[in-house]
Amino acid sequence: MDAKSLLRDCLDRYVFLNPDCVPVEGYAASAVYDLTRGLISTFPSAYFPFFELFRARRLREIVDALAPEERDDFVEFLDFLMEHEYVAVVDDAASFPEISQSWDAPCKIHNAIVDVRERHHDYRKIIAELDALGCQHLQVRGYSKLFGLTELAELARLCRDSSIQTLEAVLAHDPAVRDDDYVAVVSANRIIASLVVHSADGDRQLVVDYGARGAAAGLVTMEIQLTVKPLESHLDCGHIARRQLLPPSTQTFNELHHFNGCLNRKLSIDEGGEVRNCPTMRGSFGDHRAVSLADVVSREDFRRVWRARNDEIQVCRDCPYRYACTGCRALLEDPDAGDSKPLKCGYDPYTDSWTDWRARPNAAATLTRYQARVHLPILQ
Amino acid sequence: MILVFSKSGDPSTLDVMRWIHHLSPARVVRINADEEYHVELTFADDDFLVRVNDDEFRLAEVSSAWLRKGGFWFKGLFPAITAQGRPALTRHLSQMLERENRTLRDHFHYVLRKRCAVLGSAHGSTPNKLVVLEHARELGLSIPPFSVSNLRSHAQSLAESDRGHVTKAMSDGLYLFDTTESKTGYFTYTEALGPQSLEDVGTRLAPSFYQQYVEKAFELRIFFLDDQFRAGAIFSQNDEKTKVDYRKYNNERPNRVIPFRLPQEIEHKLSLLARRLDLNTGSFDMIVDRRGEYYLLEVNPVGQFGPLSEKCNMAIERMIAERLIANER
Ligand code: SF4
Repeated sequence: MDAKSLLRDCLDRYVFLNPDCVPVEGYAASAVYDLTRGLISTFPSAYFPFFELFRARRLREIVDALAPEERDDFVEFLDFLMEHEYVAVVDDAASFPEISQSWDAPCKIHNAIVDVRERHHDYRKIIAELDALGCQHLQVRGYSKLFGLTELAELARLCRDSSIQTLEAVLAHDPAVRDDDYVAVVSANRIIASLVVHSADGDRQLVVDYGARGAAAGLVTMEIQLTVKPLESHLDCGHIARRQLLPPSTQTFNELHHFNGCLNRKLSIDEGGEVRNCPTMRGSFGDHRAVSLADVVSREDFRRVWRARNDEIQVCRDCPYRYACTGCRALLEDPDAGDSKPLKCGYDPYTDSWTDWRARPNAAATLTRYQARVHLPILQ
Repeated sequence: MILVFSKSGDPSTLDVMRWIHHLSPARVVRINADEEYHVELTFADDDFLVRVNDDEFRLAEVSSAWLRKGGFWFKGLFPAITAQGRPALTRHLSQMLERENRTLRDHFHYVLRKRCAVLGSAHGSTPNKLVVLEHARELGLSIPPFSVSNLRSHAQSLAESDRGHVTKAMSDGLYLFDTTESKTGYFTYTEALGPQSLEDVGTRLAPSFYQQYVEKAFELRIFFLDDQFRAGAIFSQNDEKTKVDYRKYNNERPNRVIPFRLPQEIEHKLSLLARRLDLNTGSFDMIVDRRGEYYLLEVNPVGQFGPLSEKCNMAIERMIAERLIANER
């Protein structure tokens, strides 16, 4: 059905927005988040008030109140909604309540990052304590060759039979390691969900098929990425571009209404062994060998940043992508303002345009300032 | 202590166990029907002592048990016996051992039910689909008219009638993943009955189940736990691929599953039906036609509630966990 036939046959019914398709109002552009299909589409914010009307009025009343010049736009908007199957026409929507907006997860810590450069950490202690906290995902980032393939295999072994379900690794390329060795370690450890090797001698992808053949292989393969790009420091993190947005699901969408998408229930061990919210955040909670992670996690000053919602951040609060964007609380456009938007975001909600954040005035200077670690954002 | 009987790799079991660990310090022992364990067990005087690999427990310690999946979980207790050169005796002995095993299993379930709160149906059995439909009808729930026949002429007349019909398995249907050899999956779905279904069929065929096709407005997947109901509506009619059976997923445009408020009257009847079938948890499949009439299709005691819970944010895993820890002392 298209908008034309709708306007002909269904004038006495209601346009019903499926509860898994949620409109989010932004400044210039607004969005519909399709939580079932994991897609976001945007439209000019001028149309946004229609959603309110759809709930309250039959189609006929809405159409009758339109000025003649608004009619074509309205038809176009209806077509947009129908083409994406965001809407249905119903006589009565009372049987279809909204999806609950509450959010919770069965863990005290959901994911953790461990950075390694010049010295090893007490991995056994870290994994045991993360397990007790119910941690589900672990990322390890090796800036130097110190944390290599052998260490990764050992870490995977430690994670076995713990709460950790996936292990992601970023390692520095080691010329002594053959491509087959990477494949062998990943094949032997299903828990390794992703492996990126930086500072490599060439860009390539290695396919791991876990021994599956035929059509099944397509379902279970994983690719190891080798890239010549180096990973220099934790300051390389925090990029926000369209492809970094989370495909919306009920869970992430709800979580981001209540919490910060990056820091909520996250814990990190930086390269110096200090416990932090994220390796790039200022504010250490002590050396991981000296403190209990459970004690750190129960501290109010550790949990405060979890609640740094995009709704409360300058500019982000006007952005239609704010419930799909993990944001960043470590590298800010204005390091002196606690509620400043992320430095590395290229979106401008006032003009609805994506540009390279580096091109913005002051971007380079701000990054240098972070590099010098003279003034890191204060959210403690 | 909480006992969980399941199969390996069941994602819902993992999620519920996460919630248990998150909400309570209760000890959880999980036993998978498809895994081989080193089992030691002794039943005596209304109690039992079980050791499964390194986990040892007595019934007195078990506060709740969740029979999520599987039949009997202690495999290989009775070693196979072969009487050399006597196939009839061998067959007889193995049947006898099977009866021994079943008796032990039934007793185990009996004692379990008597002494602790058991969630889920005994030995993972699916209620007889036809009996469920009879019960539903007696309770005043509509069902699409059905018939069973082994006559080609019967199928022929249905196929030629102006109402559409579907055919499906009377029992569970096939859902087999052959991972060892060809890594191929085999599934049976609900299929529409048409003239092509009867090609190459003789005058008599295997007794087959036929049900009148109901032009649905949407389908309902209803999870229940005791008297609590969580319902989701699935809109699949737009899509030829999933028109008859929504398990034939359309991956590019997955069907929407949205929360649904069940009418009180339907909820009440479903509760009565669950009680008759002696089920304290499971899922009902229903359809609602264009005129707003509700039809019961089937009940599944061990259905997958994960997608419903996740898409509609119903926290079903948490509900189950809370029910299981409620009896912890
Ligand atoms: S950082 Fe803020 S402005 Fe940029 S995309 Fe995310 S929510 Fe929008």
